[in-house]
Amino acid sequence: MTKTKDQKNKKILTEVMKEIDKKEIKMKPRIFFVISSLLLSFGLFLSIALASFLINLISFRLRIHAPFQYLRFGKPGYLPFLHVFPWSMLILAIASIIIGIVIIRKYDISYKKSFWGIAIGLIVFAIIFGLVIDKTGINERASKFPPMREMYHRESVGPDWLAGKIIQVSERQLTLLTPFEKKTVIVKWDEDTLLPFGSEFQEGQEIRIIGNWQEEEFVAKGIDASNVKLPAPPVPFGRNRPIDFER
Amino acid sequence: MENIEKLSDEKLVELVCTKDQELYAEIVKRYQNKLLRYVLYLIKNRQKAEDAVQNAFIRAFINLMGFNTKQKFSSWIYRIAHNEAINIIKKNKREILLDKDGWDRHQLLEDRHIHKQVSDQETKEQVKKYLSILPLKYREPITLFYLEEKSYKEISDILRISVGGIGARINRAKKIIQKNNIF
Repeated sequence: MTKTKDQKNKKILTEVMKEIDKKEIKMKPRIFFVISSLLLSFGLFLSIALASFLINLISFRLRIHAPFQYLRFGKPGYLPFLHVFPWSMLILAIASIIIGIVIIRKYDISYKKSFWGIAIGLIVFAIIFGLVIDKTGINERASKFPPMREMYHRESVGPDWLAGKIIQVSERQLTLLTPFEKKTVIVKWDEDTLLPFGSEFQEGQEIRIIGNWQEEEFVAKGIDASNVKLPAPPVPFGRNRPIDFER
Repeated sequence: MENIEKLSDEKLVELVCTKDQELYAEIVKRYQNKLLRYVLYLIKNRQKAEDAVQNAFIRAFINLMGFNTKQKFSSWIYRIAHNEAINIIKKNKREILLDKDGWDRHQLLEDRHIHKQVSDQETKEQVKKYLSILPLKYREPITLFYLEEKSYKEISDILRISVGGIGARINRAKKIIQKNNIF
């Protein structure tokens, strides 16, 4: 090693030790690393739990509000689909999973094992766990309470869509009762209305409709009466049993 | 304290943390040349490389209590130096790119005698010579493997890439060098 290099490297040693001696730099205490590690683990747990919870909510809302069923109407069904699909929850769930993956990258396992394997594993776990939570029926119970209503988005009346039970059938006119708002709506339809499952409507049948509001009446562009199962209405806060909204 | 030079890095770190911070000087002595050489391969600018190594030692000292003594200290300190080097490269991307052709080749020649005992000295020299043609992602593992004589496992810990990924990058780097009719 040349003299110059020796001197230069000595400079590094001198500078570093000078800062240590002057107490300009201090070691972080061990507790700092213990807390950091705990926070990291908690963050990972929280992100996976949140992602699973949101996937559970998405599953519930896809089941209850069935946004994909509006696509049966073709182009006119696109807007109702966009309204009903739980986009915000999907975005939040993706963000939670991304945060989880970012946290996992801080652990040695992220490069010792296949990173993409871990990431895919995390996504699959969150999806399966979310679906299992939904299967337990916890959402049905929780969604009946008004404080949770906003989260479960239990509306059956939208700007261009409507869902409810038929309480009266007339000539090209249906009277509908919406399950959540308990609102009676007159629905009119004509020969241009899309009726992919026919026009043999019966009282008590549950249907989904796309169309427009004209004052208090809803003019149907399409009516879907196949296998529509609307959710039970919410229980007023503090009561245990569901209300029969037909009363 | 006369046996301090015989102590393992990990034991020394324990002593620095629990007994005497002055012993950190021994750690700096052990690693300053190695780290400087490695960082120079990445940065190609002596002044910036020295700053990176100095910062690495300071950062390592601050976080010394967080080092798990069951792991290898050399991988840990190389990792910190590597991060410092990458930060400097990112900060001075333009400047460092401009330095590319005029970087301190003299420094590399000066370092030659350190590697006299390596089995494949020729390969090593060739790698050194053509290091600058490699993109950074290939330069990092090939430098650590051929010039710093680290194992795949150690390189994996330093770069935080899987062992398989390290192998793939080294092979790719060799192919790039071969394409230039070097090996």
